[in-house]
Amino acid sequence: MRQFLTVVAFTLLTIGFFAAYSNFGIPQIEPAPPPTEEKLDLGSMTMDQFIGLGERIFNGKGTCTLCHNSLGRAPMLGSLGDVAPKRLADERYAGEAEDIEGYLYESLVKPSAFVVAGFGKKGTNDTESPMPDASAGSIGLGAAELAAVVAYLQDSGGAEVTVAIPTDTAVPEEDEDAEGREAIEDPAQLMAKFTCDACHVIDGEGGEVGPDLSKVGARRDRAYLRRALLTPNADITKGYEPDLMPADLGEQMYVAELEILLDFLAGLK
Amino acid sequence: MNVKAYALPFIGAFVVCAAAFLLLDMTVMNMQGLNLIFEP
Amino acid sequence: MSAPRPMNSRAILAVVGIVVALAALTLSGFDQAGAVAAEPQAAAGGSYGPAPTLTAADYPTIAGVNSRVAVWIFAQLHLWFAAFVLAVPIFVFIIEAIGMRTRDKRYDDMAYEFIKVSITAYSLTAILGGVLVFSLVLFYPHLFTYLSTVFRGSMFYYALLFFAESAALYIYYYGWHWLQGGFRKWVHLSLGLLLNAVGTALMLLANAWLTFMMSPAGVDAAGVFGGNEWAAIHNFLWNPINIHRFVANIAYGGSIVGAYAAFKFLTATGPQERAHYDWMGYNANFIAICALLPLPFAGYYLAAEIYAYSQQMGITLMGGIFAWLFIIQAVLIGTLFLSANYYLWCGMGRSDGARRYTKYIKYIAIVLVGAFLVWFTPHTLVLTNEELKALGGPHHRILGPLGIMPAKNTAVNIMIMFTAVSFMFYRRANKVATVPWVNAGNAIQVALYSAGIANIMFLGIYHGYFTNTVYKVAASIPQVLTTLLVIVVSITLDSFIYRGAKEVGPLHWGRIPARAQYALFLLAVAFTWLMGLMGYIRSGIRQHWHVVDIMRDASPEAFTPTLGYAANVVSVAAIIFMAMVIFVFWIAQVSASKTLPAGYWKE
Repeated sequence: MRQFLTVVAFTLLTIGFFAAYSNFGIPQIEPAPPPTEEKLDLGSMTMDQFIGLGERIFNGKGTCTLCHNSLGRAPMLGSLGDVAPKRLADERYAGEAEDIEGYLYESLVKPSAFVVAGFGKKGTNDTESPMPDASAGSIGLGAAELAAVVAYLQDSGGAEVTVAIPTDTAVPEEDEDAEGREAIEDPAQLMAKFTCDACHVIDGEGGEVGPDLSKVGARRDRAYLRRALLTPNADITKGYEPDLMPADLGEQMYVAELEILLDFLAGLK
Repeated sequence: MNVKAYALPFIGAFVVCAAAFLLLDMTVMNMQGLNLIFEP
Repeated sequence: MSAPRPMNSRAILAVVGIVVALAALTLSGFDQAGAVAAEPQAAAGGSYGPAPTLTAADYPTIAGVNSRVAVWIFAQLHLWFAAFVLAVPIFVFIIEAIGMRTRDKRYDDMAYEFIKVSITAYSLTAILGGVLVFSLVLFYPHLFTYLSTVFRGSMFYYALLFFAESAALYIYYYGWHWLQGGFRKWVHLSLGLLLNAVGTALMLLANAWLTFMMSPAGVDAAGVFGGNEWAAIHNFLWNPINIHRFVANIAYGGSIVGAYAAFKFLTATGPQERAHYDWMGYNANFIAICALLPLPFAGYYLAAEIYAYSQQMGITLMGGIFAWLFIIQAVLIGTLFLSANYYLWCGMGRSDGARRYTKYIKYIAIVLVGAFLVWFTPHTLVLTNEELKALGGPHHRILGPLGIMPAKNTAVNIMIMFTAVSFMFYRRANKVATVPWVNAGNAIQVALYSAGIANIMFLGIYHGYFTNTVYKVAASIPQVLTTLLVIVVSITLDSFIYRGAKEVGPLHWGRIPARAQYALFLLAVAFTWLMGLMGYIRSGIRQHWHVVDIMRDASPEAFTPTLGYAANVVSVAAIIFMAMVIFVFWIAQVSASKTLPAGYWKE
């Protein structure tokens, strides 16, 4: 038993030593917390503030300093103003940029477009860059953040800052049905565009998620139909579930289109 | 301790081994597309 | 001889475990519809959706339980036991084969004793695996749903493979004394081989899931699975982890069994028992050292592949916030090498002829300690943002250069070579060469080592400090080949020098100081702690990603902890593990005890 206790004590002491060394023998560095989407108020930013944002991203979320430092894993960025035009003029340059701003932007999202000599992945003869796409994956910079970084790089690299402060926020999702769409006049085309038949049967064809509309004009009045299109959860037909029909048709359709559709539905008797 | 009995075999073996190792170095570095001696 | 074992309960446990695993997988599969990110239309062309975008609300919690620490500890405990139960059959198989070859029954008995120790460990491995799956399903349901969607096939067959593993293990163990002699012994050995094959397959499958989380393949940038499970299994880091774990398991298993033998030695009641456990400890240590020697290279290969996969991940690993972890690792590895060598030196006392070599030991010790000091000198920390500012300056003017990889590679190669020298001295201690050319032979040995060391230093210093990065890294390959060549050639040469050698005297098994047994304990504890640390690094390098670049970890526990915090969790887990191992050893012992209660049973 004594032997057993000695061994246990020895074990605890050893583990204790390793733990103590890890806690007190080496610097306790607090790693950066997971990155969060920074709320950008671009409308009220000055160019200096915008460049400052770019610097923060360069030193933080962008993780640029991990490789772009004096240890030689990636090119130094301090004299971009002089160096970038030379890169563009290099015979190996096969990218699509035409000026410094374009080149910097391209280097951020398509780093393999041009790999500075000696910095390519081993064995690829400087055709593949070890740098990741800064707009994707674990870095994931948004459009505004990329612009800020480019502005910072231009400023710190001795080049003229040509980036304009973007007016929309960092959210990358673009509404595909943005202004400029031509109004549709044919009800069948309208229904095809908004895929009504995915959930509603009309004339024997369609899905069964929502009520059959083949004779809806006889059952419901125009006001009801208008409500059904604009605020679908207001009246749920018995036997069907709420929250299934898109609630934003009112934003997506033009006023004229809404009336055309209502005319059509009211006529289904 | 008979130094001569050790010295000759030692020197001979050392030269052979060193040569063999240098050959190994050269071969492996060449396989990686490099020379043994750095040429900037 | 021994009390009848309750075999049924173990079989029941295995079946229950498999049923639970299958149930968990099925249930989590049904949850898939909710986990996929909301899309107005179903994804065109496949039935797979992108990886879900989660929020903190998607992580269920249980009051009083830190889910991240719970999963961490269960996973680590499972891994320690799994490493043990995979490693033991490997060297049991080898030892049994040696016994069959030499017809020395002691080897067979020792092999049997090793496998007996691991039987209870096998149950614990399965229990911990079940607990791990439970805790993943409870605390990280969306992650588990996603992974089990991609890996549905391998997870299912993984569960089924346990039938084969259990069958092979139980017949191998319970049938040990039945399958003896002639053809039966070959059948038994083949079962051992089958056991190893199944165990390795299990490890390979599980390795696929965790390496997928680090270097995903078979899915697109949004995490949509392409349908090819083999592509996901065969991801970039799969093979490097396979190799590293296979070799490390053997070293680890050897050290655990060595600790068992050490304890039995210290509590032995007679010289025969002491001799038996001394011999067992020696064999266990020998196994551990044999696997320990190539291990740094397997680890280097793994780190190199991480770098090749993602330079960002690689730099964070060794030049960023995880860099200091590798200094702790260096301290542990130094402990391992010094411990293993110390045990060898103490063990030389078993031979009367060892006195001839005693005077050289201090030089080996000096070299080892010197190499160890170089090995654990840090260089620079390339830190991001505030981390760099918090630490201040880059590196120490004088010691800094010792911190870069060429210096470390040189140091570890030297440590490995000198460990081989210690081992050579140990083997030579009890022999007197009879060949006429022994002097020349020894001179050649010295020349071989001298040339080897010179070459290693040349490659390390010249290429390390007078060339560029590409040369620096490339030079490490001939360095390691030099070490391996020196070891292989010197062992071969020694076998010729000692052909027909006279024995100084019989080895006095048992004649070894008690403190040497503590070297074996230190080996086991250091190995365990090191594995815990490495497990944390491998998992932590994903930082706030469940699946790197594809599925963000949005849990409140997604932060990367400080090194002290990580070390504390590893330490607590190691203590729990040690307690469980003590239980395992105790069971192995208790199963052989008998109490004769006088007057209890009816006449």
